[in-house]
Amino acid sequence: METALQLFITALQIGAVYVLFSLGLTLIFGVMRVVNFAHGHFFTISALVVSYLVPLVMAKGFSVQSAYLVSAAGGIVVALILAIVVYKFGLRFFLRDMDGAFILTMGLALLLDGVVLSVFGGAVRAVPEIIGGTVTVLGVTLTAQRLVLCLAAVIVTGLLYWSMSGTRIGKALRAVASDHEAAMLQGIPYNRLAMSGFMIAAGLAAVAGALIAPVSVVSPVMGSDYLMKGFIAVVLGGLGSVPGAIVGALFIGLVESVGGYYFDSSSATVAIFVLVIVVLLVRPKGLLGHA
Amino acid sequence: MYLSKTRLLAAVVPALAASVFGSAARADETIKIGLSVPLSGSGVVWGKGADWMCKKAAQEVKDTGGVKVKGKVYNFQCISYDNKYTAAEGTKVAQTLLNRDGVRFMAATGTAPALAAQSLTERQGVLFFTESWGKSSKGPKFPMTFSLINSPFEIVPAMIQYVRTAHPEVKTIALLNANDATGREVEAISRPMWEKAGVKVLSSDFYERGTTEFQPIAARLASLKPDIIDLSSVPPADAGQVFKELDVRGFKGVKVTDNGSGIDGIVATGGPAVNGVYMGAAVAFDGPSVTDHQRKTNSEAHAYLGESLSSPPIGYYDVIYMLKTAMEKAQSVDPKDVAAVLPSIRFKTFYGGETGFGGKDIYGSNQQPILPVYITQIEDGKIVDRARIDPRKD
Repeated sequence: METALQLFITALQIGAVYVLFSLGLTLIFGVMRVVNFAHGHFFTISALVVSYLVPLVMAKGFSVQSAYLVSAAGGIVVALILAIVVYKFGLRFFLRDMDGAFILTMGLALLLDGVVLSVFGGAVRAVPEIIGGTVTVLGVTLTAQRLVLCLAAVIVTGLLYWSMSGTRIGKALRAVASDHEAAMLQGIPYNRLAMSGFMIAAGLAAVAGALIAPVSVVSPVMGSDYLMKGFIAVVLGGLGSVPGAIVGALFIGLVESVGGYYFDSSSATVAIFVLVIVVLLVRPKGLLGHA
Repeated sequence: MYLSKTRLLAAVVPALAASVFGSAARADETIKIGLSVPLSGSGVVWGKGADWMCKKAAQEVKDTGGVKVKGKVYNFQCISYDNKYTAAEGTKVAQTLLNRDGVRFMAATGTAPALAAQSLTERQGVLFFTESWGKSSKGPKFPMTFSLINSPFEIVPAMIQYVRTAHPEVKTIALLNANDATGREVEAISRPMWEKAGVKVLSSDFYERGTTEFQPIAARLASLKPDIIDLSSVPPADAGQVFKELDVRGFKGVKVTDNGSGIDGIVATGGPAVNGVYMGAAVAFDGPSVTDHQRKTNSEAHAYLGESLSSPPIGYYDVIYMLKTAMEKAQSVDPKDVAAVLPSIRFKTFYGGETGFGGKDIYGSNQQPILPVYITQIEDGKIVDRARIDPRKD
């Protein structure tokens, strides 16, 4: 029983970051009907900025917690600035153009790979421990940091979920995702909304990057692993489906946790791909995808 | 005194000719050495260190008069590209170095990129130096390939002997390796060695390079309750994370990383959890046996890299002196001529003194440098010497 609980809680911890990452991807698809291969770079840049700024801010006499909050805000801002540039000078010309956006974002991803490596270097970095110690939840030990990461991810996901149904912009995003022509006929400004949706998605990825930085190794190439898993989660859950992205991400976390425990990490990775193939064969739109 | 034009010309022209042709004879020529090394990802400390050490040694050789072959003076130029520790990038780097940059001497870190390069270097007659940990890239079938560092064949027996002596109670072990050519080859070597030493291997797992989430891996390793956990081919940054997650799960056994080299990387990611880890490829630069040259070079390297030197970058210092010695002995800069004399030379090594090549009993030919093995341990974030096995003294 303790093992099962341990695996479940590990799955939640792993899945928490995948949820934030996947939500952004599915939001972009839902609103703009494109996939963004540069999404991982919003995540990476946020984490890199955090890893760079925390020691600098701490050197000014701030506590590690204050330094982290300031650095996280900085990381998110930098990621959002990048998102504005990507949208204004790229993606806005390819709204609802899957092929064009595919090529554009693939090229952007390659370009950003080089830029990030040039600016930040190739070295891996670690962020100092923000919250020390371990906690025991239902008999399972985990670090306090990871618990806070989970809670933060839950709060952000909850806020997003609430905003999608409880705010004007959320309802407009859902309307556009459902039928963009009908939404435009109702007076919803599609182009402006597309940008808002893209910024929210980038913000989610940036928050994920800032949250993962203290518990992982930050490197300029860390986004590619999350991007792959994020796409798998979104495809599993259904492109454009917010609940689907959450389910898909948690599913990935569960397979990694259980597969990595009973077999090994490499086998778990293979299992994820096999399960995606099986799900797509049985239900091509994804588990919660729209018809 | 009146000098006729003829006599003046007779005096000036030879002097002019001597200055032109003499200076041409004295002009240094450049030998390019291509480096296929990881300049990003968790292996970056090895790659950047390799580039730095190669250039350091090249400068030393230049400062002492260069390589003298048949009346000409040659100096080395180190050209590095990022192989990302993968076969795909390693192939691209090899093609760039060999076909675009025209290098005739090449070195690589990482089994996968080394194997990728070797398929080109052997065919093109390029002298190739490898830091791959596997056996598959060495031997009589690869006459143009030589090694630069100790491999598991040299390190693991020393590590096993030390661990069994220091911890006689240990009976079981769990192994973890990266799921690539390096990890697979290292596992194939180290697993039988541990078993032969009477240590039962409870599991031998693999993980994908580039993994950032090590909780499931650590959970599995800890659940087996081994006496020892050996992260054989895991890079320092990843190893630190694994040990950190193991610490959360209360693992109190013996921690080993055979290719453990970069202490700063493992300490940065593992924190206090890595205290007590035994490493097989790290070098301690404190202590009375460290030479001034080693201490000074390490200090300069640390300022540049943010990390002390370790075996992988040190190999790229040695390669310069290997080549210098072999070229001067062969009196040729042709790779085939140099390769022919390499097994018989004694070259200056960063580890102190001189050494040569051996390893015929393991690899089938003398392509392995005879180097000391350092068993070190992390104590309060610092490397402490535990044992030094120097085959040159045997």
